[in-house]
Amino acid sequence: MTENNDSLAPSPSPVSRRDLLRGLGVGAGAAGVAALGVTATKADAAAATQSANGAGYQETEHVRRAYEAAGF
Amino acid sequence: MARMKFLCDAERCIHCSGCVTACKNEHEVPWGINRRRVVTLNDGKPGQRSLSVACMHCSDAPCMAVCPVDCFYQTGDGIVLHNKDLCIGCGYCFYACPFGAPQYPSTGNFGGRGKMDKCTFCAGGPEADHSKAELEKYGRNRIAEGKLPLCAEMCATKALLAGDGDMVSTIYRERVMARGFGSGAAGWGQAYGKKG
Repeated sequence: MTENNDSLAPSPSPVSRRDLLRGLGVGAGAAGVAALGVTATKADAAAATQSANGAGYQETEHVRRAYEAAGF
Repeated sequence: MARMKFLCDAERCIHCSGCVTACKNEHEVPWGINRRRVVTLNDGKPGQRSLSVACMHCSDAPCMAVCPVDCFYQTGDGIVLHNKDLCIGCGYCFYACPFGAPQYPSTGNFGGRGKMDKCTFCAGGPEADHSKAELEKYGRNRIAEGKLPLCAEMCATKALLAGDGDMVSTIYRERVMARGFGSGAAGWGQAYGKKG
C-alpha cells in the first residue's frame, strides 16, 4: 500500500506551481501588449486609409450655400 | 473636426420621396436596395409624421461592433463606411442596426445575400476618390467634391438636413425658435413628455 502511494505521488518538478502561475501572468501581459499593438496597427491603417482618401469634408462655397438654403 | 450628421425635420417632410429617388439615381443603386427610405408614423391618424431614414452614421455604430470580419470603419468626419471586399454578407449588421440601414441585393436562390450596401453619406468607400471601382461599389463621392449628400441638397422643403453636426443643429434650433413650439422630431413627445 505504501509502495502504491509512493508511486502515485507527483514527481518533483523543476518548475514550482507558483513559478508556473507567475510565468502565465507574464505571458498574459505580453499577449495584452501584443493585442494593443495589433489594435494600434489597425487604427493606423484606418487613419492611413482616411488620409490617402482625400481631405474628407470641407466647408466649400457650395456647402456654405447649401447651409444658407437650408436655413430658410 | 466636423462630425457629419443627418437630421430629418418631421414638421417639414411631405413624403415626396425626392431624397430616395435622388440617392438611387446618383449612386445607381441596384434593384431591391434603397439606401434611404421615407417612413410614415401614425399613418392616417392625427399627428401623422413622415421621416426620411437612412444610415445615421452613429458615433458608436452597432454595425461596426457586430461585424465579424471588421469591414466597417469610421472616417475622421464620423462617417461610417464599409469595405465590400471584406464583407461576407452575413447580415449581422442588418440585425444590429436600429434603422434597417444595411441592405442586401437579391443575388440568387437559397436566400443568398450579396455584399451589404448602405448609405455612404455620399463619401464613397475605401478605394481612391473618384475611381471607377469606388463608383461601381459605393456610388459617387460628393464629400470629396466639396459637396453635401444629394438627398439633403435635393430636399424640396429642406426637411432633410445633412452636414456638420454643429451647423445642422444650429439650423434646426433656429427653426424651432421661429416656430415657437417643440421640435416635432419623432420621439420628442415621448422623451420630454409633451406634444409637438
